[in-house]
Amino acid sequence: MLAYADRLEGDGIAAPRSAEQAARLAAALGRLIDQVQAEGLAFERLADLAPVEYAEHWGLTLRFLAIVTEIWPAWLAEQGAVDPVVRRDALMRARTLAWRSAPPVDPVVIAGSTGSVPATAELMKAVLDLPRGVLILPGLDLDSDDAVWAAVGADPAHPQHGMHRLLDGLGVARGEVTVWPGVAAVTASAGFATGDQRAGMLREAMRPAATTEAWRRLATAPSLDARAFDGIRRIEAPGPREEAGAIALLLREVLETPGRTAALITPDRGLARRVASELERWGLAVDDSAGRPLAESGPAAFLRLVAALAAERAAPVPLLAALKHPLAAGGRSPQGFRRMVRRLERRVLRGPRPAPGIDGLRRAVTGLDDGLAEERDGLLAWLDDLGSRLGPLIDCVADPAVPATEVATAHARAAEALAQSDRESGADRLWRGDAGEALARLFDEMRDALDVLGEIPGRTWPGLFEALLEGRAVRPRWGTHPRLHILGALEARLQRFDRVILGGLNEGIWPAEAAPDPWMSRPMRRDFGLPAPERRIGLAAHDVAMALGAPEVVLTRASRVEGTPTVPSRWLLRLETVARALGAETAFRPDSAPALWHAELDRPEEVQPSCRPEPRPPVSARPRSLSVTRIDTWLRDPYSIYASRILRLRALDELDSDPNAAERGNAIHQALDRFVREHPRDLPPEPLARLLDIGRDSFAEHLDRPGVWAFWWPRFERVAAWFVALERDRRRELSSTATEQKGRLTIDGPAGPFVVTGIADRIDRLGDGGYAIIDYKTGAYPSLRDLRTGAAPQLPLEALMLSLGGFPDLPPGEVSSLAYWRVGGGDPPGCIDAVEAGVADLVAEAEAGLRALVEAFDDAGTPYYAVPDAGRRPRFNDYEHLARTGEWAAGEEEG
Amino acid sequence: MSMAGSSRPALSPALVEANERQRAAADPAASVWVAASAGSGKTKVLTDRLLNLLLDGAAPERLLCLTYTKAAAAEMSTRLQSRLAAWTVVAEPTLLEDLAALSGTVPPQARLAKARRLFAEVLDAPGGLKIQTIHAFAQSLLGRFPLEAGVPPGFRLADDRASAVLLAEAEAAVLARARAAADGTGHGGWRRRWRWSPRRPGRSSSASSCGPPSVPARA
Repeated sequence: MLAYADRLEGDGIAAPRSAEQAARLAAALGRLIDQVQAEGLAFERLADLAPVEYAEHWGLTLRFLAIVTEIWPAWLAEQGAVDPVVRRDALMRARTLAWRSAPPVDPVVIAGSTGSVPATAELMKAVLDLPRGVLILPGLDLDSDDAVWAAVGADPAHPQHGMHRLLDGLGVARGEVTVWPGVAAVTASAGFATGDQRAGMLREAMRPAATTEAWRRLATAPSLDARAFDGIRRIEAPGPREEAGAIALLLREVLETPGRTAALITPDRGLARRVASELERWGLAVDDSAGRPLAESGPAAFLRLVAALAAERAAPVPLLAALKHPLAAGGRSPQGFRRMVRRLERRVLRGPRPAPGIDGLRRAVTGLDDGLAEERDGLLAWLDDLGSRLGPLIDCVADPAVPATEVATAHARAAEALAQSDRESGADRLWRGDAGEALARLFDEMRDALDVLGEIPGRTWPGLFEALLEGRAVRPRWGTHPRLHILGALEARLQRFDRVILGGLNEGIWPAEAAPDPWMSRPMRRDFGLPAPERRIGLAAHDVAMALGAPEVVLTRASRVEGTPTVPSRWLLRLETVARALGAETAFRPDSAPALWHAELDRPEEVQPSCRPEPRPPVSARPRSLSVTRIDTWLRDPYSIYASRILRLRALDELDSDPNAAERGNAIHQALDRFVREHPRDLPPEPLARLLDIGRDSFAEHLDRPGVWAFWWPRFERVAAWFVALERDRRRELSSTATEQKGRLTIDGPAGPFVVTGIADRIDRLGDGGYAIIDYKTGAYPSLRDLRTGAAPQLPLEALMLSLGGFPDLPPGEVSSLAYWRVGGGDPPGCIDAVEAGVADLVAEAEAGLRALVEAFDDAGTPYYAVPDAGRRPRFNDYEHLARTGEWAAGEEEG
Repeated sequence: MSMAGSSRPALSPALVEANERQRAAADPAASVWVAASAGSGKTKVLTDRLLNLLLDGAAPERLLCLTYTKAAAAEMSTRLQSRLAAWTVVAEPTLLEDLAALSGTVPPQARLAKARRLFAEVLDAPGGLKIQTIHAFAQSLLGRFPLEAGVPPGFRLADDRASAVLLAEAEAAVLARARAAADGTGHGGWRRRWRWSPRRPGRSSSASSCGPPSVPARA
């Protein structure tokens, strides 16, 4: 089916553009074929369905369907195979035939079937004709009056509609059906004294729409009153989480009484999962017997991650996701493997993305230059090993045309290789358990189907794999808990529990949303002979009605899901209306107690908000030296200094980080510095070209990224033009210029000398002997105002250093200008913010401030506050979460 | 607002007129545009109109109501259902009053019986009475015509995160293509057109302008 996409395209139909889309379309087609065959209809009749005026639009669909339904039977005949539905029906018909021709004399019982599948109904009819054949029907309503029963036949959404059809098909009148002996005794012994009332009330609630005026007369009905709602409770939870919590509590409550059983019945697997995990709070392991999606099981998730890794050529995030999966062991013990993964992450993956593939990682590791040769070699050996396990798959996926079976095999092999540990083989670890076995079966099935697909572009494999995983569920083989159960509607049939909880009673979940039919409109389906979607609603209604027969029933729903208000299930609304008619509104009012109790479970006795941290380390632990840029941080947020210098905590870079503005700034810095350093006196003959060359070198490592090339480089070109023009004018007044000068300054503090270090970007000596200190900035921070008011002490402190001879290559002297040269490349590309008057005052102020700071912090009682003045918080704070700023900073104004 | 019992104090002329206009707007025989401030009863007019349509015999599955938000759709649905549920069980005089207020005339007995049955009829309507958002309606259309739309039947809407990822990929692809083209012609001339730098909210953009800083400048 997937292979005929090109033929479709030839016909002008928007064909599925990829194998993945084709797989989904194929699944939908498969469902259609199953339905049509189950009803015993023929595809040939399709052509007559649409009236003439719609013929063209319908013709498109017809061509699509005919292509598939002509080619498909032909292919089946070629393979000597048959559709699964056809086979199932053929088996049942064969059995029917066998029994009709040679009826067995032993008893034959068919119990619990609703006969919704036509072939089953035929079998049931045959059993009826056997000498000792018995049909036991589940949940047939024997007591409603004939007018209602007749109306049921016309209403497919009614819970008894299926039974009505079955009886019609069997040729049995309702009056001929007797109650299975012993049922009355069972219901009485289950403490079900109000049984008659409950059944009667349900009958009323589920009335066919055409007869619902009778609800008016309920108030004066002889056999029904408010007691009909005894044993039924309702819970309206604000959201799915609270709903699950309340349900879990109710299930847990049942365990308090020995011997009682309870079940949650719901078609909503998400709710089931939530309840199961809530029950773990009490150490209860209750499996969801309706199963969970295969795609979310451990082994399947591992396979998906490995496929994603290959598709992205070992980019940092997919690589780590796969390598950190519990199944990944790469031939070592899982702990040893994980250690290597963390090492790789710390050294190589944090920061900009390395080159693609395992080779790129090797190159990045060899490029590490900070000692620890042993560690580097260990990493390289480990990477080589990893490459041998994953390499074949990565190559396969990169191949533009590769046979689908080859990719699938390579995928399985790579996953096995990666899952291999030091003690077990990969196959043992991967295909283990219910989920692993289901996966193994899937791969087997896939092998034949993928043969037909031929060659596909390798990079579509991950998507195709996901599409093939869809819709498959893993059911646990053993029920884990003896008294508590979580079931889907189908499994819950014919089981008895003391307390039944029906969860997820929202319209769209229970009854399920009828997906719009992609092939035919409703009238077309009816004409073709396919069952109406309402029939499924009727079957679901039957399940609900049966479940509502338990001694204790709880109906729950969530009133908001993901922020959207929900609509209650139609059956809940019916029950509500009947309750009103019977005067039982208070009995049927939602009970908020379980949800409240659940909220109480997690509520602490009292909430203690954390307060502002005030660490006071001993003076011996406090830093004795800082750089001038850190002095600024020391002023604004001492806690950062505490965390970085005393606790020695440093924030990790982002994984796979984009080059950010800081790196742009660095690159521009470097280029300008190098230019000035290489040409301290006279400018070269073509200064702009030379500067651009230097810039290309400096930006080299980033220029691969299209964003850098498109946006950063043009900025640099503008900055260069501005800079060169500026230098031309400036050089006339300079006597010398120096770049990247390291300076130091020692202050005597109460606890000893305190050293301040700094690197000045550029120091120019002017013609009159004074100095100008220049700092290149690519942003607007700090502002000129900050400089003038002393909030940015970096330049004044450098000036102090200079005046005291702290710069070894520069004779001490007075500073007459402090300037920021803003070289961001925007508009204007560059500008100068300078302070030329009052520099001496600024310097004196900075010195005094520095001394005061050192004195204050040399006292063991001075705490390292976090952001003492909210108006002067630092621009970037790696330690905000460590100081838990959000918890105590509430109410303080933004600066 | 729609009561007119003789035992109640007379309504002011303004209210009477408002009631009349609402009733006119709820008459399904006319196509109507209603503009009104918040809380003045627009949803009620809509619900009344729906009820009139249903009482006049329209099949519920042939009615389509489109709203802008999911919350509005849910609210309308709930309001409609509670009105209909009330009609099913309430005493006859009250029902008569309600129906009279809706249509402006005394309803015949058949209409009363129909009103009683409407609740369950709407619940059981094949496909349901559609009150949905425009997005949901469009989505259901796409689901019903997969071949024409070229969209496979089981499609899901991309959420914000998926959209952001797709957008980033598209941007990278465009820039890469532009670069390949520029290298081919050997001129960077086209780049002079890229004077603007897109600012994406919430991301330290690799192309932030020389405006408010997003990262400390390292000196």
